[in-house]
Amino acid sequence: MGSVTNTTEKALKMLRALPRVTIGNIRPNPDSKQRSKRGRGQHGGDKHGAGNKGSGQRQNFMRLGYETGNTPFYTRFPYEPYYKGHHLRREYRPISMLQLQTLLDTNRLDTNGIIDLTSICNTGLFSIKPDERQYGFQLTDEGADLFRGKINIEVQYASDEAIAAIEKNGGHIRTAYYDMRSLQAMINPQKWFEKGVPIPKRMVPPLDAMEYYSSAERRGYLADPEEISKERLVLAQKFGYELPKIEEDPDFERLTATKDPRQIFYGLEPGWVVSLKDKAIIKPK
Amino acid sequence: MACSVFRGPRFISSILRSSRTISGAEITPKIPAIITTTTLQQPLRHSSFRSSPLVRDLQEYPEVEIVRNPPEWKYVERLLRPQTVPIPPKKVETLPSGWKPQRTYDPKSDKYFVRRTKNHMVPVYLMKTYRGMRQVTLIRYVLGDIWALEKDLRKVVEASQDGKVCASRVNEMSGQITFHGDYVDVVKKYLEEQGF
Repeated sequence: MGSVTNTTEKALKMLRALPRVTIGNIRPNPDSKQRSKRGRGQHGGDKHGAGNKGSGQRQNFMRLGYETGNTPFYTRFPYEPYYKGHHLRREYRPISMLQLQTLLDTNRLDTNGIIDLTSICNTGLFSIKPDERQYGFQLTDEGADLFRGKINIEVQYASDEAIAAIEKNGGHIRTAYYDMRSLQAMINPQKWFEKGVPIPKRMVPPLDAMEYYSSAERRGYLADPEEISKERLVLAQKFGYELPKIEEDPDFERLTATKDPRQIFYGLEPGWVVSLKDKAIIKPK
Repeated sequence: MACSVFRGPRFISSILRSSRTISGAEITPKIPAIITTTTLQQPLRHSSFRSSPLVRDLQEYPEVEIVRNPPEWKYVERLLRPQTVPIPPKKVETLPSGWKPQRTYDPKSDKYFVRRTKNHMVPVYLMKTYRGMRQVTLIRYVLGDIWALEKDLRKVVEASQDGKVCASRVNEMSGQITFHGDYVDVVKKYLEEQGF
C-alpha cells in the first residue's frame, strides 16, 4: 500500500495491528439509537430465574449442612463427638518431604544450624498463625522416598515415614512444643527484638501433649536420649534400611545440636533483650 | 545506656519519677509543667499479652549487663529473615526434588520464552472460581510470540485428552494464556522439558 488517503482505510489498517479492539470494547457511534434491552426468560428476565428474596435471590450459598431451619442432621444425634473440643485443638500446618527437599535444593534453608519453625517461616513460603491455634509445622510423608538431605530439623509433629526418611540420610529430627507466646516471638524474631522485650521462656507442653513430646518413638524433645538411639535402630529395622552412624559423622556437632527445653532460639537464653540497632545484648546479671 | 533500647513516654515517665542519674548526668525535666507524669503514661486499653507491660520504677528491675558485639551475635543474625530471595544453583545435572534451573533467554533464536517467578518456579497455576466449579489453567510471564506458544501448548493439552478440543484465551498485553480445565501438571511438565 503506497499512500493512504482514505480515513476509513487508515482506521482499518490501524485495527489490524490492534487485536484487542473488538466489537465488545468499542463505544457506540455518536447519536446512535439505544434500543431497549430484551430480557431473557419468563417475565422478561426480571428475576433472572433466581426467585424473590432469600438466599436464592442473593445467590449466596447456605453453610454446609444447613437445612433452612430444621435441626441439622449433623447436630441431631449427640452420640458421635468427632468435633468435640475442636475449638481447643492444636493445628500443625503440613509440609511434605517433597516441599522440604525443594526448599533445600533451591537454597531456601540454611543447613548450618537447626532447621526449626523460625527458619521455615523465614523462607516466606510458609507461615503459621498462632492466634488461630496453629502451633507449628508437621512433616508429612509425601515424597519421603526421594528425600536426600542430611539435616538437623525440629518440627512439631512428624509421621513415621518422615522420621525414617530423615534418619536414613544421616539426619537428626526432634519434635518440639512451643507455647503460644514463644510462637509469637518465633514467627518473626526481628519484630520481637525491635519491641525491646526479653526473649520468652518456653513453657512445658500441656498435659495432653506431654506423652507425645516425651516419647522416644515420636522423637520428642523431652524423651530420654538413650531411648531415642534405641528407637532409631527399631525404626531402621521396621523400614529396612541401614542406619548411618551419626556418631562418626564429621558434622556430628552440627547435626545433633539441640535447644534446651526452656529455650526458643538456639544460642540465646530466655530473659535476654536483643538490640538490633546497637548490636547489643542486654543480659540480666 | 539503656535508653537506646527502651524508648517511649512510659520510659521517660519512669525516669522522671525515679530521678536517677544515667550516664553521669542527672536528667532534669525540660518539659512544660502541664505535661505531668500521669499524662505521659499510655492508657491501658490497647494492652494484650503481646504488648509490653508498663515500665515501673527502675529499682524494681534486675541489674543488667549490656554486651556490645557479643559472641552470640551470630545466633541473632541466623534468626533474621533474608532481605532477598536466595539465589538457587545455576548449573546442576539433577536434583532430588526434580527442580531444574531455567535456560537463558536468547531473543534471537527463541520464538517465545516463559520466565520463572521470583521464587524460581514455573508460573503455571490453577485458578478456581464459582465455588470450585470452574477450573482454569493459567500460564503467566510469557515473553515473545505468545500466539506460537498457545499453538504448541494446545497440541499438548488436547493430546492429553484424546484430541478433544479445549477452549483457551490469550492475553498478549499481560503475557498470559489460560486453558479451560485443569492441565497444570501437563503444561508444567511440557514447559520444564522445553527448559523454561
